[in-house]
Amino acid sequence: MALEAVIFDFDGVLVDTPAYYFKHMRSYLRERNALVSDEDVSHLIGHTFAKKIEYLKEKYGLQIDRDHFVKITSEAMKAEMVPGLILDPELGKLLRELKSHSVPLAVASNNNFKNIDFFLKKLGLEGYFSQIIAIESVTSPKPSPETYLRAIDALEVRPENSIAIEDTVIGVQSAKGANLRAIAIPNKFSSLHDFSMADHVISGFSELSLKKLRGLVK
Amino acid sequence: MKAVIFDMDGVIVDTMDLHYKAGARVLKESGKDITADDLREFDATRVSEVFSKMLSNKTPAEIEGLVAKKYAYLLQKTKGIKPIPGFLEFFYRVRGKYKIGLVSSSYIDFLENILRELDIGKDFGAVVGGDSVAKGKPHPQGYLKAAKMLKVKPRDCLVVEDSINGIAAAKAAGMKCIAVTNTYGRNFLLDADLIVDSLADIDEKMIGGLFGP
Repeated sequence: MALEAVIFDFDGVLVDTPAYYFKHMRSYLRERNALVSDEDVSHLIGHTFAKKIEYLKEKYGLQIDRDHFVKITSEAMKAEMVPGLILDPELGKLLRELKSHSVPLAVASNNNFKNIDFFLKKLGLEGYFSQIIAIESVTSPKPSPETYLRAIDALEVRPENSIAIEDTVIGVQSAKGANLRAIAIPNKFSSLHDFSMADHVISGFSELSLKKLRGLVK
Repeated sequence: MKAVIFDMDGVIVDTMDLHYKAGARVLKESGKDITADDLREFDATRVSEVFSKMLSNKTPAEIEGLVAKKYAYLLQKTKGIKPIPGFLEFFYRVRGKYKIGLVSSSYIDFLENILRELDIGKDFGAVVGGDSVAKGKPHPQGYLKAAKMLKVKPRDCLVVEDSINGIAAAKAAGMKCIAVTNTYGRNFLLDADLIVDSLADIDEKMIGGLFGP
């Protein structure tokens, strides 16, 4: 067996949006008298905006206007992130190594095309990913396996020879549901997630290389 | 290749049924007994021409009034409209790399409204509506106008269409044309340079093949 593709989750993997996003989400909700706990954030990370709003409505009885919520929290996050935005150097090294060996790469995300495109351009990653599967591409977002099923279908690769890299249990569930190998790279918000389903858990991209990835599909 | 020019209805969003329903509603109010299904044969024909044909006793000014009424009905129905699966995949593959245009038989206010709803309006360097040109599809005028607005030669343009009249317009303009089977089967789209079942299937290699070295 050989490594056929590497598929990256977007938020929290290719770009550290969670570190900024949840700060702005918290302040948006604080203004509406809802004090969001770390545990809430751990539940929310990786989910779609729709799911987040559903959860907040249920737990805090908040009626949130979706468009307004998304716009305010996302714009504030982008404004804060963009000036100092850099690609994780270890991730950059891995991406260049994979690209130089012509390993097909894709993005599989619960975020929308507009945001993904925005950050990929800012990070100088245009042209690295031959397929992008976004929220608009699917009927059922992660944790449903549809996102990964579409990714392997678009790449025309076999799932068991493909690796997903995810920062949340939601993403790992989606990848495993589609029968891919899954590597988890937890961040501070998802560190309490149960990653027992993942094939491998790492703490940073310095732990990955083409050789290591090839080893995982053997 | 320098530009990608899209048709809208049946390519970006599926508003054909909304168009037919709104058109039939206006015609019925004017005393013409017609159903939305009857209007299908006028696909890609501008609504003012259809109305003139059906309501021969009306003056051009009256026809324009009815067209405005039809669009008012239509705009009520477009809030939160979703793109056709596959469109955004392709759109984000080409945006930034090529100039982007839109040519449709629909009126320009409606086109801009849809682009706003989908949050992609800023990427379009040319939007040509049925009311922007003297002759609608299958006449090439709309596509030629878009190329001019984008400052590209027609032969450097790729058109994405779903209809027979639209393909004819693109080819008459001297452009390459990819047809997507969202509305018609392959047998109806054979004049296109390439036929796909989903825009998500189009990659750089396929586009390169159309334009040659």
